[in-house]
Amino acid sequence: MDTIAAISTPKGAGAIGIVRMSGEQALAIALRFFTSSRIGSAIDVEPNRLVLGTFSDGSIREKCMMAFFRAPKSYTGEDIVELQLHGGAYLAERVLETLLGAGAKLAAPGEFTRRAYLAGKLTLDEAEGVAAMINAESEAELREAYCLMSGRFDARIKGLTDTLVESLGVIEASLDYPEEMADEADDSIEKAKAVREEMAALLDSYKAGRLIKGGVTVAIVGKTNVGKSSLLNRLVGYSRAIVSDVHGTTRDVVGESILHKGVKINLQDTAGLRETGDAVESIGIERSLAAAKGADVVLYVVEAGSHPDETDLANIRAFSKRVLLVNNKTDVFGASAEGLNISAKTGEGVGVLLDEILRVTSVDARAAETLTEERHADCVRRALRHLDDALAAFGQANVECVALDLRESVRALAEIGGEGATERVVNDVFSRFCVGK
Amino acid sequence: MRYDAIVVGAGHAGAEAALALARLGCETLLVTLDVKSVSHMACNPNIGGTGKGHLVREVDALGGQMGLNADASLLQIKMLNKNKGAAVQSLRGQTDKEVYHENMLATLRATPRLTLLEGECEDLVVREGAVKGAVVSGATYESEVVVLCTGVYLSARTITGEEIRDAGPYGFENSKNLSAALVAKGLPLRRFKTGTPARVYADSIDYSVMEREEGDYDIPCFSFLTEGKLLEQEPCYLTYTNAETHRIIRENIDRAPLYNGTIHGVGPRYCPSIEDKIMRFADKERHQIFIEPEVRGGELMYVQGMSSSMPKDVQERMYRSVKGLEKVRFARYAYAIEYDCIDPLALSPSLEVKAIRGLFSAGQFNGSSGYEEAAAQGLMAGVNAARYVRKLPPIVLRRDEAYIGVLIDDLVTKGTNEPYRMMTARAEYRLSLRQDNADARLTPLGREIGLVDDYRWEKYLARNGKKEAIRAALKRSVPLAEVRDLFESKGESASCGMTVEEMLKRASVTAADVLTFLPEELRDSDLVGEVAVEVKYGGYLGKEKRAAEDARKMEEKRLPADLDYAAMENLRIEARQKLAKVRPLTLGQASRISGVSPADVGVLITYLLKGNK
Repeated sequence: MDTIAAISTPKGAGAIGIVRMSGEQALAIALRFFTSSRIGSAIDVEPNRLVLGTFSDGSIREKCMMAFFRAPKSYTGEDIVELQLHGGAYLAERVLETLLGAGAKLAAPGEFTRRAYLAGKLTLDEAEGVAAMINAESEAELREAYCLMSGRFDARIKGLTDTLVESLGVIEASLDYPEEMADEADDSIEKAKAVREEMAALLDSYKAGRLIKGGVTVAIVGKTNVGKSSLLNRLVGYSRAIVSDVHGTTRDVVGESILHKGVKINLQDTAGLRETGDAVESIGIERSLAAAKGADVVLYVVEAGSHPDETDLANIRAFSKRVLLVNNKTDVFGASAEGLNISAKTGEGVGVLLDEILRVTSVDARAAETLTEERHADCVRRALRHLDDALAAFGQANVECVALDLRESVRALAEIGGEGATERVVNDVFSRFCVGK
Repeated sequence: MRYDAIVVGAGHAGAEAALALARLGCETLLVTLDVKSVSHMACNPNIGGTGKGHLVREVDALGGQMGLNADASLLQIKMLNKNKGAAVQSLRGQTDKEVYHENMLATLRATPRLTLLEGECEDLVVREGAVKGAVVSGATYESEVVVLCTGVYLSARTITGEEIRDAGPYGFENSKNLSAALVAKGLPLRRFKTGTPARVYADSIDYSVMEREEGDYDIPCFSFLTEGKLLEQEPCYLTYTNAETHRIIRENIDRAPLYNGTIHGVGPRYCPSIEDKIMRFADKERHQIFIEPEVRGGELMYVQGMSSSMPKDVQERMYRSVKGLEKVRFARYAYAIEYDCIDPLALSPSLEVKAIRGLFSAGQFNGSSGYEEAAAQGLMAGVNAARYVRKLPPIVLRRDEAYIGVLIDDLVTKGTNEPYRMMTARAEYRLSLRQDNADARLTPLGREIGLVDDYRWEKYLARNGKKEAIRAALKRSVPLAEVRDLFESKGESASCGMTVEEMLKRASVTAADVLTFLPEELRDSDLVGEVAVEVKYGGYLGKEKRAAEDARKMEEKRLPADLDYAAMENLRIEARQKLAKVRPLTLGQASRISGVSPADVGVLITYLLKGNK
């Protein structure tokens, strides 16, 4: 059975977030990212104990606890790993995403309990309580599957599935009707390649989709006294951050969220960048850079008419793909040729700036065909992986092997809507080809 | 008059069912309308084909008769998809229809405990929800079980243009009274349609303008018991329809019963009539027509691809427009046939009718089409009817065990809206369910059931043992020099010595290439070829195996028969209705019902736990 993973704590912020994995590969996957001075290799991991360590996947480093339950002495009867993280939906989702990227599969609704049941771990004495639990989970998932799925997103998935089914249809027809199909053109690979591109684009849209759900994080960065805090205050509509003429007024990251065109934007005002001997300010500057690193968009603010600090800009661009150059104080210095011209004081150009933030992150609250749900993203991710396997096998392996991977891809996509893959393919064969000896 | 079992109909399903019952010790009465129609091949003169060839081998591996009977009547044999992978290769044999019928009749007559009776089954005896016998031509026969294998005979009518006859296939009598009796007992019957092309005189065909189609001379036959290869074979011929054929059909389409409202039954999409092909695929310039022998050196030929229900005068004109058929003379005209059959959702996976205990059914009555699909169901219905008599639990083959499992599960779980034909595309574990390993998959089970006799069992053990020895021998290392010799002969290079198995992993290396690296007693190219398939599929077989294991756990969780789906509020309405209709035996079966989503299955588990407490 596949190794499955899911966030086990409720969505939203909390003190602790738990990500749970179950299956043969659970420990191996966890140990690719979790390190601890107490663990040298998998055999060192003692079951049923909490171990402190670090979860690191190259971009996040999180100090957390790991617990390991060895099969069959676990809830599901399989190896289980639990990672206990600091609370917050984003962190848990990032960790989950990393585990899914490493080969775990997103658990279906109630799947941990289902496995426990199938493994005979769940006795009937325990049933009532557990049943109530699955119930709640299933109802939420049912709503998700049958309400969220209507509309354009559904149509887009259906379009992808249809094309993939057509591609598979050509292959299956040639396998089951070799004599009749001998003179039919085979465009299965072109079709599959086209789907691959669109599927990858759809998966990219998941990032935007997540931003719709969690909000776009924007860090306001720049030299001291260029008006970063003024910009924050202008955007949130009240005096959130202290503003003064003194260089280095902002020492820590100041956060506040706003709504723009239906999208949540999480603003972070940061300490101005400059060389300083002040220890506290230095820490603030470090935090500025960390905020810029974690942000979806970085606003690099300068005074209109002056040039940005190329060193700062290069530093920021090294870790952020979306950096907007913002020229503030146009009411005093006039507009610059490059970048976005605004005045935090008068509010001029601020609306355009917010639009630009949404544009560069490809976020459109009205777009329904973006991926927003991790479950859907997981299906697409698996579909893409199988499709890549199929494309790699084209011309290398026997065509029935290619068909196996293509079918898995169709099946993964079909999981979103819950439609059987085989019937679709068989129907396709008969609707498009004249076969039958 | 008392029997353990009554089988109604002696076609491809009925013959297997009756043989299985009698061989498993049941006194069996086999009822047929006409002894001449026993195992009659009413349509094409071949056994096997893609997916279907797999079924024949599985029936054989379990101890059924079809493979042996086909081998004894072969005119030609071919391995379809020979240039593709082993899993999608299927045997198809051209058979002599008369020999096929005569052989099966002789086998039935020679089988102890089996009584063949000519007559018409008119009604069933049912008491307290269980079948207790049948009425045949006015006389009542008592029995513990009845197996319905009525084929296309139930209230059948044949249609050729304006001419509609109350008749079964090929001019045989139809069954007139049983349909109404079954409906009165509450069975959900419906109407399907199928058709067959004309039979024409061989001496009126000009083969010189057609393409000659030869069989394969180097492949095994259907049965694992049949030794050697088929050396004397007869050819088939290929020709095509053309613009003139299509014009004739279009101009007369208002006389086609399919298009003018005469025919109401649902026909198979995979076996369309020629008028259907022309109308539905209008941009296709030509369609293949295969000319196939009905009997050895015989005077009649079967015109594959020209199935039709057009009036006779139109048939003559359209057939004669085909190259090589300009002067063709008709022996029998093409016709469509409508018949009653059951909605297979009314059956349990053992092929027992859910509403009436002891009543089993198989073949076209269950909504399938094809001789092979019929035989496979007939065998399983016979086995399970015998087990019912002996009060043993039924045998249900899983989808990862056999095409037979796929076939029956599809029918009873998903149902079908047209006559169901087996295809390899329907088998999700296609790479594992190969025709070459049907014996390894099923013969041990056949032995357990009691249908595999000592002769077949010894043969199986010997074959299997040899394959095991070959598997072990493939682990032998071959020195670099020898590896290099072989690889370089194929324009490839080698840098180190390796095992025979590793050599086989190269796409260019065949089983024949590695024979010399094996001990002399293991150099059997057929068996080495079969073992090589496992090596060549390698990781793909692993993928299938993991998927099958996942599915199996779901299959082991049984659902109570009296589960009240209507009361499960968390199930969507559609899922509630479908589950109530199908009444799946396991969670796995429930998950395959169309209209039941993974979330519904989750809900089902919840209720199951609650309900059990």
